[in-house]
Amino acid sequence: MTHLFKSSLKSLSVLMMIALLLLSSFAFADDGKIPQRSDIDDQYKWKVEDIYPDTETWEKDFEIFKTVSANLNSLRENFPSQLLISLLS
Amino acid sequence: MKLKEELETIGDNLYVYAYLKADEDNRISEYQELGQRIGAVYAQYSAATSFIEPELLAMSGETKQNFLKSTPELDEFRFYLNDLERQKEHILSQKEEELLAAAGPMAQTASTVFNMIDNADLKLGTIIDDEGKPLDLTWGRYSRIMEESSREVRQAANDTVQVQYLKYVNALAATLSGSVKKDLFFAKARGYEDCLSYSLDGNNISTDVYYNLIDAVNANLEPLHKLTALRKKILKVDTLYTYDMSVPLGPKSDKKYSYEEAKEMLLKGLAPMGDTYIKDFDKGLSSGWVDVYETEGKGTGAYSWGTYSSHPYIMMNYTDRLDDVFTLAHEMGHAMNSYYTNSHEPFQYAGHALFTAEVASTCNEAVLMKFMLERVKNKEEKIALLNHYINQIKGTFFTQVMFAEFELAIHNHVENGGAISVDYLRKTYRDIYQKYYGPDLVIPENNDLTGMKISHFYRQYYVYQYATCYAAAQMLSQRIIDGEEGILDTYQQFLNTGTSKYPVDILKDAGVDMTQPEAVNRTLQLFSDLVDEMEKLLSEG
Ligand SMILES: [Zn+2]
Repeated sequence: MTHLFKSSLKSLSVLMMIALLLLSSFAFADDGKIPQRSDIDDQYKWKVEDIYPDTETWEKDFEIFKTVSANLNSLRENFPSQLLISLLS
Repeated sequence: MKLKEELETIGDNLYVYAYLKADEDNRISEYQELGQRIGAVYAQYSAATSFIEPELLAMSGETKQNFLKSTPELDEFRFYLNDLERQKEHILSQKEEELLAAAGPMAQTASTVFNMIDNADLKLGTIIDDEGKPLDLTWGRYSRIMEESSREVRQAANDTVQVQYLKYVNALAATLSGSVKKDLFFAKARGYEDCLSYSLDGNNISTDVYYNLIDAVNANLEPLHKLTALRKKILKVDTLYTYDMSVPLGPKSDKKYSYEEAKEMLLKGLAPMGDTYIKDFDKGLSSGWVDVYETEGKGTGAYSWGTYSSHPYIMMNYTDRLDDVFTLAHEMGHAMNSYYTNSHEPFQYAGHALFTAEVASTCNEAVLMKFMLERVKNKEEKIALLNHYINQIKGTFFTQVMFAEFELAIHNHVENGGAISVDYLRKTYRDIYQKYYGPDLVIPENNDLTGMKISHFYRQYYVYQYATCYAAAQMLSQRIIDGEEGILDTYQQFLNTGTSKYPVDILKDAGVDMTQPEAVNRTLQLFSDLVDEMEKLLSEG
């Protein structure tokens, strides 16, 4: 059972639970038998578009996140406690 | 505005989007690039905000209380700030803290080297499969082989893998030894009595929880020995080896469960959990939470993931097997837990400590199992269910307690001035392994290397929580099935709560006191009953 823990955690402040039974649903790669994603009916797929409809929208948020993250450092150097309060409250 | 919350929600959304898309088909490199880009910026963000906790720690208790008073919006941080205050006696001077922080990356060396050996350098090897073809081993294939292949192939797979580990045995002992010394260094530096107290104090968990678990299990190992003996008898082998331990007992059941059937079974089987739960559960299943089928290039295994502002996402590789039905129940348990916690807790408390995280998932499995066992019509199916149930308790409960006992032993050894050698690790692991499974199991020469193969030992005192979660979930599931008065409200409250309280207290509020042995003893009793039932069924012929 030692392979139970072979999973790697993608841990940010994001929730992620990895199944203990991670590998029990593994199937042998049977050539030609595994369908393509496009063969699967949409009702059996998760809707990642509920987070971002497309990569363009992702890029917009990415720019915001990148810019603010880069400015946190200078803000911290100049007004450390002010930043603390504005971050938390 | 809560800048931190808003920023991190955006960061999490960016991150989860990239990784979920990448997991849909890892042959498409576009999403892997997105993942790398957000990963790098997130690391920058974390570095820029890493001053917050030390700064809060450095504040006097009085300043903190004034801070709370003058800024009412901070009230929801009260638990967090009080918790920082609680750990204050283990916080050192600023200079010392800086030194410890600077040593942090260096302290990761043992773990990094282990992972390099385990994931990069070490190859599991190649065997000849039942069709006579060469097969490169992966952990996924290995676990299938241990359940389904002929004894010759199982033995070959076992021996091949162990020999690969044997090649690295000195390095593996050295990294594990280094990791334990690291644990001891930080425990002592922070003024803790031992590694266990240091590790458990992070979540304010009493060491009684740990010792109770190990003591209770040690006092009740006979059912596990009985299962080993039963296995030997049923498999009709002269000598029972470790590679015989995962083969299902009794006649094989080929019963398939389509995804539609599984959904229906879950909605019926989990009905005791109440109308609200079932309504939300059903809505989740039909609102794009689950990615059901295996497709070319898709990520393997199963998990539940999401962000504070998103709905939960469940990765499945559903193949119509009984195990898949339970995996769906399990992941939906996590998903529902996150769904409720996200809508009831403020952002900073919306996660779960591992001490509570596996309860909701396991509870679903337990409720479903009890429903299926009650309704099962033929003997083959019943045996298949019992096999699944017994293996689950073996893997999630006994194996984890066995690991926990091994971890405790090697930490105590170093705490008492002992040195960790290859021989010491092999003998210690072999003795505990033999004690758990009893005299009917023969551990092959190199199978005592397992203690050096477990990556979780590089996060000290982590795995015992799988066992405590299991016991807590079993106790809750029984009370839900029994329809105990008020249990659904109590359980809902549990599902709504993240980290706004200490995990032991959250379970106590749900009526499960893990500082007492009752929950653990109930699981031990359940296991004993299941083994007896299995024996009876199999001896009927
Ligand atoms: Zn889980």
